[in-house]
Amino acid sequence: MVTEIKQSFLPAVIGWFQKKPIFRILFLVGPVGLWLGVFLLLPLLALLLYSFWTHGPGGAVIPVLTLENYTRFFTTAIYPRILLRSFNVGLQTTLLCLILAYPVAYYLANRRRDSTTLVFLLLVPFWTSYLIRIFSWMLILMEKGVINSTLLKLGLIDEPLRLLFTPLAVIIGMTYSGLPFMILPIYAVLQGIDRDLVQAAKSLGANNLQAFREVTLPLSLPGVMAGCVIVFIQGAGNFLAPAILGGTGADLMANVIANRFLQTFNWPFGSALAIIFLVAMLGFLVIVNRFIALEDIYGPNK
Amino acid sequence: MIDVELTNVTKRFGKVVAVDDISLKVKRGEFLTLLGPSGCGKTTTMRMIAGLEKPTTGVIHIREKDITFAPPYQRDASLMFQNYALFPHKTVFDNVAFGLKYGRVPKEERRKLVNEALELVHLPGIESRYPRQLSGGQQQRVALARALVVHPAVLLLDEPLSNLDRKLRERMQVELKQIQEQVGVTFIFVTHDQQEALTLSDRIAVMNQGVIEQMGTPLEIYEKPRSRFVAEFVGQSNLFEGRVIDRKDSEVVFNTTGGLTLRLSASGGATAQAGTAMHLRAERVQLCLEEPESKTQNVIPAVIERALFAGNMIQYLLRLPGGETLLATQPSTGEAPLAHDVMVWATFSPEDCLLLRG
Repeated sequence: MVTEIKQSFLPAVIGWFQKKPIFRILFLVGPVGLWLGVFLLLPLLALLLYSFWTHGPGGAVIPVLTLENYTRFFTTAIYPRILLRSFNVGLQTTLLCLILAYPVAYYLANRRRDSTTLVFLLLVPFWTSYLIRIFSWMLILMEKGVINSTLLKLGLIDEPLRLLFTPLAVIIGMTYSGLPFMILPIYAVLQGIDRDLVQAAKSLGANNLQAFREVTLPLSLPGVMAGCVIVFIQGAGNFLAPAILGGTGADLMANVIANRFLQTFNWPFGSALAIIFLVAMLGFLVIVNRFIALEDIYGPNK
Repeated sequence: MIDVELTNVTKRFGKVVAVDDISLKVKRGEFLTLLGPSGCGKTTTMRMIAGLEKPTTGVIHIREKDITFAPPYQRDASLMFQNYALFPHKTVFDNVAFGLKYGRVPKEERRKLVNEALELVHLPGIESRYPRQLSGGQQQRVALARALVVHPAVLLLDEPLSNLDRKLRERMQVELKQIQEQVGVTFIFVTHDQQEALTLSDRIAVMNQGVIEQMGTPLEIYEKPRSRFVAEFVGQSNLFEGRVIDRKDSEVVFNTTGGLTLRLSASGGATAQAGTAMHLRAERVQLCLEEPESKTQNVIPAVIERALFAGNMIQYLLRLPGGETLLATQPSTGEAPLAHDVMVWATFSPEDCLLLRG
């Protein structure tokens, strides 16, 4: 009996899925769609709603529609400045990461031997929490930290450099944590480039540098773009690094938003800041995507 | 005029000897094929000429210039890859013009030369397309145009036709040969396909385990293979183990281990003194249902073991009295192939028998 049921049950279910593509889609992406809907989309909509409500005394949220939260952002100089700083710090981190990561990715992809172990080592830092890794940078950057004591001993400086609690410290910390996210996609793309293409370029008269510029670099751009987007988003939206490594003037949007929610208990204004930041980030990425259309690298589709 | 010359070239990868002390000369305008199974060293040889590998020992000259250790971009050699290696992010024009750009050809001249090259490969008017918009055959032609547009001393082709389907491959063979004759560039062609090698080449170097087993015209390679390897790799062969038992002025008598006594023409292939194997092409065997009366031919009774119909011919596997087998291909006549177990007489001329050493 049991086997009979199994035999008749499975093909029926499979047939059902095959007949109705909509069921197949629901089956495959339904669970994650539900998850994201409940835990991402709904909270986001709540934020959107809050951002148009009124802030009352004692952190109360009064459901009276207002644009005050948004006008406050644009009329107070400090907020647009922090938004700009977030983008600026994000871009600097991205650029620094790219400069450091590309040669590493290139090396990993062009080694004669298998790079799996080395690539795996890139992921080892993730075994430790992000918080702890950022804290450990305090030990390196602080007044009596590794860098200052080394430089002092070598006699290169007379008094400790002020590294910790500066915007530079934030960029250093975020660049460190962003590196694997930059190296991996570039490595993956570089590894997929047909070696024959570089050899073809050389046999046609291009030297190593010219072959790199003409073939490897343009073909690796999809990986570069992927890495840059991930690192930029993580950088511009970072909370921990500015909170721990940055000084008073190093706050980014995430810190300001958190501050509104957790310290001044102004949820409507915090929500408005979050929405503004989200829209600004999305807008920026759309513009970048337009500007550097990746599909153009391989020519038009058909 | 010698375009390419290899002198005692050896290439080792660690302990593996990929190419073992080979020497060869390629004349200007010649179509030379390096033929052999995978791992025989043919591709490594070609890559050393291209500069993609450095020889362990030995010297390579292109047009009398020692380029043994010169980088690829300083050699007068173009390379055409098996998978074409067209730059996917560049248009056909930019692909073909690539070599001109780095060959310091002025921009104004490039357009003219690219157009000429594309016309040569019968693909005018596709300059602005991208490689992935082209069919396999078109990509192939673009790759050929890209390699030829720089007028190299030698064009190296690494199994360029192996990714094409059969019909297209046969058409491209003819075209490749025509183009080669038209431009007069020296071609060094690497393939494992013996039919392709025979069709295209002026000369063939048959390679095995890093050495050149035999070098000669397609006819020489096919008719007078000098080793078992060449005999078996090229064409369909029968090899009989055995020994020479008698030698007269015009005739050599060979006894196979299966107990057959065969006559070989002394003037033909039996020149080798102490042969231990006899070689016979499958298509030189004739099958008769009744015993032919011939004093000069070798005539052996045989039983059909298997018949394979291949359209233009039928391939028979025959069992001989001593337990040996004989491969015989017969032209297709429109009649059904002979059935399993049918008794026939296999007949072949002493002239077609060749004694092989070792």
